[in-house]
Amino acid sequence: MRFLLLIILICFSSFQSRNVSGSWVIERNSTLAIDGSSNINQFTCDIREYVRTDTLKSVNDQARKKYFFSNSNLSVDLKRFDCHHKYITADFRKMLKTDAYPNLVIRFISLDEFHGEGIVKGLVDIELAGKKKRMEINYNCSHIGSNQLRLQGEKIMKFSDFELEAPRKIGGLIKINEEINVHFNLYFRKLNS
Amino acid sequence: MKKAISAILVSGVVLLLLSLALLYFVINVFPSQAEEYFSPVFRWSSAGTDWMFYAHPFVLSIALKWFWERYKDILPGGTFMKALEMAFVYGIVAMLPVLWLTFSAIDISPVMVLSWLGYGILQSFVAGLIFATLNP
Repeated sequence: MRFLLLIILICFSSFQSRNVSGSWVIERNSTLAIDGSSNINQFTCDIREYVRTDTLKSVNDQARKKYFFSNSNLSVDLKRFDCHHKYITADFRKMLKTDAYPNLVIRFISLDEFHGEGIVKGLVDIELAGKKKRMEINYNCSHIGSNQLRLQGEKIMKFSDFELEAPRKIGGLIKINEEINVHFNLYFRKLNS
Repeated sequence: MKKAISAILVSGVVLLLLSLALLYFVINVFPSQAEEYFSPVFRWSSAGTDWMFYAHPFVLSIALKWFWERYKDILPGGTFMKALEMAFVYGIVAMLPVLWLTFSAIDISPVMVLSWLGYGILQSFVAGLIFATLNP
């Protein structure tokens, strides 16, 4: 029994020693853009500057070759989204119920370990209009300098994923299409390793 | 009565096809004008009232048929002229004051209001042609 406990203790301690924690600050120059379309035209709604400075806390699980995040939310003020079209911007905000749910919250769950540059898979919970959905996103990861990281990714989503109804006008003959393409362009600065 | 109902139905179907054709024409040829339908002054989602859009040509046909039966004898000329006369009477008497009031109350462009006036006159002209042919 003691021998078994010793083995468990050794395994546990070795597992612990292989986890490296770190903190990342989301930089202000991070952007988020949403490409959408109607049966009339195409539009892009974007936020050109991330004004908050949220910090992501990660643990690098070297055994599973993944970063796991805890309490790591990226919160985006939806009222700052600009669709560069006065009618679409107003409809877009109303569709996303921004009065009741002003923020888009992206909660980072995990990110595949990366070395240098390349495509990495990440898992996030996206909370929009009070509905949460877990999604896998492929990021193009690149290092900028010694402690900066850039993650670029895109994900095709549907309004119905979040139980949202796209606007439709004139008997449904003029409407916003269900599918949107969300582009992430996130810059992170490492605080410690 | 049967002739009147069939004239209303024919007119309703033709006006519905005309409205769909004109809307697709605007979407494809004048997309910036069609974008104005995304303005917040319009109902945000028409899902609950879609049927009203598709029913409007039939409602208009009933109204114009009533007008046609009462006044067809005083409208001058042949089929074309009678239809044209009815179109302008409808446009000037029914549409112009209402659209004037609509423009004063809601934030829509003059082009949008004029397109509705033209659309109404065209609808009335087509209905007039149908009634003048089926119930002269």
